[in-house]
Amino acid sequence: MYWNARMECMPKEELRNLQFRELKTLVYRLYSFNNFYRERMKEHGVHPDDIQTLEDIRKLPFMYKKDLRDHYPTKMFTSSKDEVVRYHVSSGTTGKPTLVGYTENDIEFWTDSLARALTSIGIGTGDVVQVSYGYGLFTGGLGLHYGAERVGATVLPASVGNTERQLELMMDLDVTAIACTPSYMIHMGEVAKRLGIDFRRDTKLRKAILGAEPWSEGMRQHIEENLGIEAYDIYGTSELSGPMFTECEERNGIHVWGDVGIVEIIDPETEEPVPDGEVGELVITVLKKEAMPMIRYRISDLTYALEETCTCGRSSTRIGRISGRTDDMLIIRGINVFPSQVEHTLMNIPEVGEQFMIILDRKGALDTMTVQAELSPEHFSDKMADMMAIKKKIDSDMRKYLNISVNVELMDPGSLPRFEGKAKRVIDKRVF
Amino acid sequence: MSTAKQLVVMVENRVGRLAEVTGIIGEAGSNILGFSIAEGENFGIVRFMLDDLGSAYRLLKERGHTVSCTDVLAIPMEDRPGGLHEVSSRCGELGVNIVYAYAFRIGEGAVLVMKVDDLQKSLRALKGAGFTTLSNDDLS
Ligand SMILES: [Zn+2]
Repeated sequence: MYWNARMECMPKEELRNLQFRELKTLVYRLYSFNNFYRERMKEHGVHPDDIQTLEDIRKLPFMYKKDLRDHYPTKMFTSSKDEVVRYHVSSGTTGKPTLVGYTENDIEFWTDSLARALTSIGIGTGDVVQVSYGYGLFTGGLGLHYGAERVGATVLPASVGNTERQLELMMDLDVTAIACTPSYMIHMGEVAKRLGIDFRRDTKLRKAILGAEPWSEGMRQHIEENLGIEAYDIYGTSELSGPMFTECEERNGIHVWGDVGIVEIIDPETEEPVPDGEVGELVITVLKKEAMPMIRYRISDLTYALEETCTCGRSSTRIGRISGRTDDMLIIRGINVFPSQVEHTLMNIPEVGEQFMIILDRKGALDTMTVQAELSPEHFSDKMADMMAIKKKIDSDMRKYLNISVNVELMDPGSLPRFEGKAKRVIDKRVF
Repeated sequence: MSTAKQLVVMVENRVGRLAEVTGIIGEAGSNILGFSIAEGENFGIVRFMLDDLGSAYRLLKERGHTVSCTDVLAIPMEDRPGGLHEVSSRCGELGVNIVYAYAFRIGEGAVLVMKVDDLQKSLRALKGAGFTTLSNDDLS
């Protein structure tokens, strides 16, 4: 079953021609209407007329997350504010967030992309989809919500948290599919076990769409065997609109619809393309996007591409599971955290020194983040209440600025490792 | 009437860390008269009453430990049942607020070490009620 058979199964050559035409239109449009990108192209010595083949995309300059931050909030928008119907916001590296705006068409393209994806994993009319991604500034909840409604499924907008109630609703409402982070799926399984709920016996759940944090084939196997469901990988970031692409039922790579985006995989050092199937940095050009077009956007995710047509019949480029990052971004319980944010937050607390460490671990199925911060010696007190107040302050500042709860360990001044050259402040003990 | 000084050390909760601290105190030639440990989650605050505070402080500092000296009240009590109760109930009556306290035996008697709110005011109140307080010299 296809949602849009013509687009999804378009012969490769035809698809490439379509991509070329869309790219050329996009570049002309941006050159004419987007000051930022015109300047960027001029600096780079390239003009829209230089785009003569699809491969000429390589002549175009890259876009970076920094560009979005530098032009916060709306300086990069190519639509007027009246045309923007929604904002989503993700946290930035040093406090400054990334804002994404959507026109009505942008929401439509996003929804349509997910409708194709959900259809490709066999979700449609008759399904009840529990959306257990966060609703709100994060794109996951609302994205999946619209996509699932579009394919005719019934949506249960459960959002995150209150796992016992989620399980109860899952059973009462005959939920057949769920969208959440892989660690939350595992957590749900553990809570169910404790409550004596057997997923196979007591629920109708058969599919899970998992993403927003790194996971592995091992985790997939674990989830599928424990819960008796099929688990599918989903990909997307807020800059691309949100979660947009998933694996199909073949589960051999994530389909990135050719009319929606152009995939390049480059060597992050040389910036040259790497061969099909080889791991490099993902660069995406979103062909259909009005409010905030993205050309050659460097997401900093590492993966590989598969060009050959999938056994499901869909001709789009597929990308593999994300295997890492080119920067030091950490993903904890689906939340993006940069060590620089931690550093920035600690720097503004006079009671702690400059040294810190971040330790990531997994307690049961849930990620834990421990921040070890050295006490500033002049704030050492013989009263435990004073020391605990410092801890509490670190804790609440982390929650306030990083939007995540962390374990804080106040350390003896001088006890944390000192680094010469590049600091290695993160210890990741999690097994993916 | 006088106050006494105690040595305070931050000690992380890991094996051998406390022994390292007490080892250094011994190496400095100082005797531990009494001590108390306050438990944090990943660290403790250890307060020591020593017969030679200065040398222990210097050596610990030299070895990179987080140390400080703070003022406390050291009150002699009789080493018999009800001895502690007598002192603590009188403190309550006199409005002396004890933040924390620890006790140790010395010679035939015992000493109660108290960290109090508003040291000078507490000292005056105790003096008025006929208590004696010890200095470090009295203890060594
Ligand atoms: Zn496929």
